[in-house]
Amino acid sequence: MKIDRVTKHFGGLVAVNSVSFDISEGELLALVGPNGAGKTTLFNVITGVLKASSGNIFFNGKEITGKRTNQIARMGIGRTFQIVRPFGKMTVLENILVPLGKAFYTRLSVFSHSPHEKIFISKAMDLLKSAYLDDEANKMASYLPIGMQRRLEIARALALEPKLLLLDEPAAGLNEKESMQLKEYIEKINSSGVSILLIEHDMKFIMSISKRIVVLDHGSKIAEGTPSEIASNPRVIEAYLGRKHKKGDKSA
Amino acid sequence: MDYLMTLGIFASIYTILAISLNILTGYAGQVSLGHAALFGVGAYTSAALTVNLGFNYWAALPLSILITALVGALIGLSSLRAHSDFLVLITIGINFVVVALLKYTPFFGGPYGLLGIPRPSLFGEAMNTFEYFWYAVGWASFTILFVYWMSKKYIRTAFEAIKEDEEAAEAMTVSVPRFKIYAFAISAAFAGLAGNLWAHYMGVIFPGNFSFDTSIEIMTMIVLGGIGTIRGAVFGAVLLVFLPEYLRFVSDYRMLIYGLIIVFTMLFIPSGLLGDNSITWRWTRIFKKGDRVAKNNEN
Ligand SMILES: Nc1ncnc2c1ncn2[C@@H]1O[C@H](COP(=O)(O)OP(=O)(O)O)[C@@H](O)[C@H]1O
Ligand SMILES: [Mg+2]
Repeated sequence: MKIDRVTKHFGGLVAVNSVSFDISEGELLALVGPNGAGKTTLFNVITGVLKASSGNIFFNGKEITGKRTNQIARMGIGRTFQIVRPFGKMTVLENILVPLGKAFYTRLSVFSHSPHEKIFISKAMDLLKSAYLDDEANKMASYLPIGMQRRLEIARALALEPKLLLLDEPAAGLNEKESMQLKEYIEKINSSGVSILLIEHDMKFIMSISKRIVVLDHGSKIAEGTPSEIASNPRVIEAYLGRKHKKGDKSA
Repeated sequence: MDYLMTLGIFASIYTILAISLNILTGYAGQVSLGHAALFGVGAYTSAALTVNLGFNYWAALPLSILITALVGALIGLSSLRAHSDFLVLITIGINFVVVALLKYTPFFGGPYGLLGIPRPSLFGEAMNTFEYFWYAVGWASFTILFVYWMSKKYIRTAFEAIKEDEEAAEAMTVSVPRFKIYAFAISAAFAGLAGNLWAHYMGVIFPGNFSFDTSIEIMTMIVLGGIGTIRGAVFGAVLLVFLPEYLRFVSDYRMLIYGLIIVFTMLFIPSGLLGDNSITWRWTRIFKKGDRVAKNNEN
């Protein structure tokens, strides 16, 4: 995927400011930056939830700027949400069955094919197994603890058989054990050939999982490089520490 | 006997209406308080085609269904711009507009309605009440079977997805506009069928038959029975057709009682008498499959 000078305004606020970067096939790229840096907004622009004010996005050589969310998903970009949004009143299994109907939603075969067909159920159970959720298959999704809901969202996105997966702070609010399980899961997905763009706050998590990092601050890309380059980059340190100092000043 | 048959015909027609509203509101989550407008479009289309334009009933039947479905699709299309919280208001508005249009259009007979709507005929003879009863029951059964079949297919999955979360549905390749329009069109097609059955049984129709009160009545049926289930829609429709006939006070205070039913159901048994999660439905299951209920409760 190629992001080329993408800008997003909200009225006078520039949430994303002419950001460019590429993700190559099979890569796991981390997107970091302080709160409000524009990371989630960029995800929403990529997936067509928000319209870019300017700039272009290409996926597999095709321009996807301006396409509808469902079309972009169909082209092979799966995503999760910062605030989890599983289909809460469906069971865990039913959540996975939704994307498995991908081939039917644009055709009249949506009237003839059933999510109860064996092939879909067994595919869904396989996906749940790899997300360590097979025991929860018949539970209502909203009853699961947050860690499981996060993995359910990832499994649901994977059911689209995406080439690229966008994960928005998947480790937020998880305990140590859940976080480890998640990391294992993400690595497994990445090694199966799916490219991943990962937003994360937890630097330890990022450093251990990604080889390349893009840093946003106030909507602009301020750095790009390997974890060690990023860790010693003065602009990055300032973005993170500077912000804290300012906050400290205000409250003082 | 004719009286019972007539009630049976009304129950069949309201069953079709309740099931059709259930597709839109129960499955796809699009709350409409203007369903009677589509009922009216079906009735008036069929009446105008046969009375004013000389169509045969059997030609008017598919046309009235098709035209109502198209009107439904248009309503769906025009509501796409609105946030779903406002859909209720829009559909109420549409209901009033449709009734007013019927009232002021001479072609549709104005406030005096359309008279002399023919009964369908079989082998050259117009159906009597007894035959029409079975005709209406036949269509109601067809509706139940069709919607039951549909509820097992991916179309239902798409509806449930947009009901729960439009943004997540889109991320799962489900086009929200497409399936909203599908829901409106399919729902309207059955409302059109109900309108056709009503018009050709009554022989005369007035704009007032399709007013906001009727929309509330249909909504009460599915709320009472259990939104999202076919059995609930059927139960609510049959109960609310027969109850006023046997309990005098229910018919005297109809709108009051509908209002109370909606309020109390929403407060105390929000999934309705026969909804999947309602206490009352679970009771009926205990007598049948006690062990299964116990298992479900564990989860
Ligand atoms: N829908 C919106 N309307 C207006 N402002 C928004 C909207 N979404 C995000 N913002 C603003 O854009 C900026 C970037 O937000 P966001 O992308 O959520 O940051 P991050 O995910 O990096 O924490 C913030 O200042 C936020 O308040
Ligand atoms: Mg964010």
